[in-house]
Amino acid sequence: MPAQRHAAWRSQRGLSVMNDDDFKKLLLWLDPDPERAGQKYEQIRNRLVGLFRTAECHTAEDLADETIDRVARKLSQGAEVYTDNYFFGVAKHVLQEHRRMVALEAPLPNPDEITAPRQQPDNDELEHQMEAVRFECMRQCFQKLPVKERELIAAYVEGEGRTKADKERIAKLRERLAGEAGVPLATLRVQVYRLRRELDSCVARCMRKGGYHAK
Amino acid sequence: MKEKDETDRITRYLLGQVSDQERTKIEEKYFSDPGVLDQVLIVEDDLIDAYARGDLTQRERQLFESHFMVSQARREKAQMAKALMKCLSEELPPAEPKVSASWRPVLAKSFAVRFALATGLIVLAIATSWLFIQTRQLRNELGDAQRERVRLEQELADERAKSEQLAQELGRHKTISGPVEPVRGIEPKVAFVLLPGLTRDRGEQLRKVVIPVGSRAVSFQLAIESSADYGQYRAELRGGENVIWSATRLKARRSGVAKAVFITIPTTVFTSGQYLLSLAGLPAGGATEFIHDYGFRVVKE
Repeated sequence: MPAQRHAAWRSQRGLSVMNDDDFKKLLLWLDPDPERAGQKYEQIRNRLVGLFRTAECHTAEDLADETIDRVARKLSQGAEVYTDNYFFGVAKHVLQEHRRMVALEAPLPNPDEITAPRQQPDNDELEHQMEAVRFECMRQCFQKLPVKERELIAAYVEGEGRTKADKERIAKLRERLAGEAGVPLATLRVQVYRLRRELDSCVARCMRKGGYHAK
Repeated sequence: MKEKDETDRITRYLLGQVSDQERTKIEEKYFSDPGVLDQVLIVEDDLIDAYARGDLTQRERQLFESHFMVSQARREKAQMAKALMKCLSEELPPAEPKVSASWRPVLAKSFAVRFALATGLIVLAIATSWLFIQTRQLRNELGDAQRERVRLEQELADERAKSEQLAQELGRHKTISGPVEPVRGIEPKVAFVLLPGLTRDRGEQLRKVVIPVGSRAVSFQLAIESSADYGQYRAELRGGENVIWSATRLKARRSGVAKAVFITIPTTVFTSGQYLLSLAGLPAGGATEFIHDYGFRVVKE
């Protein structure tokens, strides 16, 4: 399944399609069981896409597939690849090459010369509709969360606080929540991050049900 | 401090304010270490939240909008953060600062303090008596005002009941044919988006539609989930078993993949309570095909 989807995706975009044998060897290397191999492939690909997006690459999916293609070719050529981390080593090189290419094609603009984009005019009907639907979906998804999780999210969304009193209150609140959860503050922060992503996914699903797709 | 320095460094990276060399170092780190990637993503979240709260400096805001937000994924995160902030501002009351004071040490201090306290108590007693008299007078006036209000409310309720009865009778007999135009000469004062799938049985989840005093019409945008396309649609409003308002030959409007039907209903049709809007498609030459129900609860102010 992942082999056909990968090939079809790249073919649609006019990108070189890795040969079938190389890809099958890659999956076999990931895991002898095809089902598990497919899952590992998806996990690695999703992580690569996430990394390239964090590095502000608009073509994150292409770069992730380029990375996978290179690893597959290496394996076919008999290179010794021991762990999944090999993918991320190759990804670093792919990223640096991509940066060099982008720099050659279009020099980075000076941020001082850029003015902030104008806000969309208030009569952008669809944007307002989506905002209203997004808010409604957020309200419903947030209400579905257990009280503790709502409290956790609220404790971090408001930031560190502006006044000294606010900063102390927020710090004490977070310490209390970490104590109740039995985890260090750093771990609690990661939990809150994952909760927010789940909340965002719930909102996106809710919007799709209403016929709206996030832009 | 070290943690703060690292956070500041990542923030500068996200706003494009680091050298190429430093950027490469940071990217190599988080490409190799999932823990570092988590840290970068958390700082990214905090930055987006700070933007949504309006906590960034002007310079940071400019960099955020011109550099950080060029990615669609980040724009979506920012929109989600904005929606979450709005949601939270409705959910939670502002935190009350806790004030505590201990008076005992002050009392024990000096004669001057005790004299001032005694004088204060006397003044307080006089003020209390005056307030008591004022309160009694105000209570009498309030009683009169309340009785007058009850009388006026009764008159208003009688007039409203007559008006609603007339509107319901009118709604039962009236079917709008032809494309729906906005109610002439009257602009809708309130508008709501309704999503399909909520039925009246689960009363606590019904969309709340608040109709302020003075509103003459309510606009509804009925989001359509179905992929089937119809040339025309029919909408029916039920307050109980009976249809109290309907419109036919409605057209759907598209924006990208989103599709919706827009209707406007005079507020005279509604009283406070639960309603159900049913949307059906009208295929050419065929029977009406049900699409969605939209349940909601009206609160008339």
